Amino acid sequence: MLAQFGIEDERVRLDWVSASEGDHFAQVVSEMTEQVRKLGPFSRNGGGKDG
Amino acid sequence: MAKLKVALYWAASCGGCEIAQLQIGDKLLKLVEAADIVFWPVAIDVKYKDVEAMPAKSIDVCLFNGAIRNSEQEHIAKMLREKSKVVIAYGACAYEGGIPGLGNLFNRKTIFDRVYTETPSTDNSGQIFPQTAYQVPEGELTLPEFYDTVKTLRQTVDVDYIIPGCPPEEKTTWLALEALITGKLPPRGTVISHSIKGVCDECPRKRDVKKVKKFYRTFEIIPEAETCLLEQGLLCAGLSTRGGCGALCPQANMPCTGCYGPVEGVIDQGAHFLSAVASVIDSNSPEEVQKIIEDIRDPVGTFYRYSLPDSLLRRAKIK
Repeated sequence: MLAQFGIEDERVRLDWVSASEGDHFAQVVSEMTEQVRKLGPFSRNGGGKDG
Repeated sequence: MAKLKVALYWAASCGGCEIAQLQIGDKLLKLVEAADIVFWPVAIDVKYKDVEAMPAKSIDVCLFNGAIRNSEQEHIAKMLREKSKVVIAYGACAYEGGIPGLGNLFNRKTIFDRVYTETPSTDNSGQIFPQTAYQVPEGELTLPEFYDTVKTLRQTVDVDYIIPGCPPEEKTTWLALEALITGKLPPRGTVISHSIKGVCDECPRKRDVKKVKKFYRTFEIIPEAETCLLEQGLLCAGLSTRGGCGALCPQANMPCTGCYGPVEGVIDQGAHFLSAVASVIDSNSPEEVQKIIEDIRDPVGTFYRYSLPDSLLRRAKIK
């Protein structure tokens, strides 16, 4: 469904991190943040001027 | 008591709302006893300029059906708002965008390309597309501007009440009209329906354990008569959808498609419906889950059948 909305795959990630894996958690968050930053903000109007 | 002045209008809609209004049958006579209809393009010949000439707030109630998808509809919506004391969004399109709202999976360019060049029966080698203005010897011809995005009436003007449905059931329409005629109006902003609970609440089908291994489209199976349709693998939106319709569709073996809008308190009907469907899938294996959900063709058209413009995302992003 997200593909139909034009939402890129890279914006969504499902991962599992145990409460004892602090480093891994930080790594997943950093990767995700960097990935989304590269994509830039998601425009709700799909760029349409009258959205 | 002076008679009420009522206006009715259609924007991006199919005409079904007009039929629903006529479907109140002999109650129409009660309506015209209490009200003068001053504008109703489907039935009486009153021009836009006649409405323009009416003083501000001179119309008591405006029943507006249809979504806003071009500049003419936006202009008339704003004009009727100015002329009317009470504006009611009538039907799913005015309320949430409705079926025309699925146009928000596309934009003007992709819709025009499809309609004016790509359809197999179209020969448009001259690449002729609608223009908003065109010069002819007699003068300038104009057409309304077609927007990229379909909007709801509430996203365009202030709306006082909502009558849900595609189209609204006769009893829902009359519930609102009776309130207007008798002056017993509910609080501003109310979605006028006989129920604030879900369609499931009115559905006589038996609910047991929802565990679904396969989803079906309506033509693929004949459902068993007494069991919940969702339990039988039909994507029934009853649990996300406001009741008041009397659960007519599930009683005719058709899953609810969600036309009365979200249940009270839910903002995004599609997300609510999707999460309900996700919770009934009977599998713990990602591969099997993937296979099960692949049977859901056109997820946006299924979960947001009537509510895409009113959803949190409002529209798709077009690359």
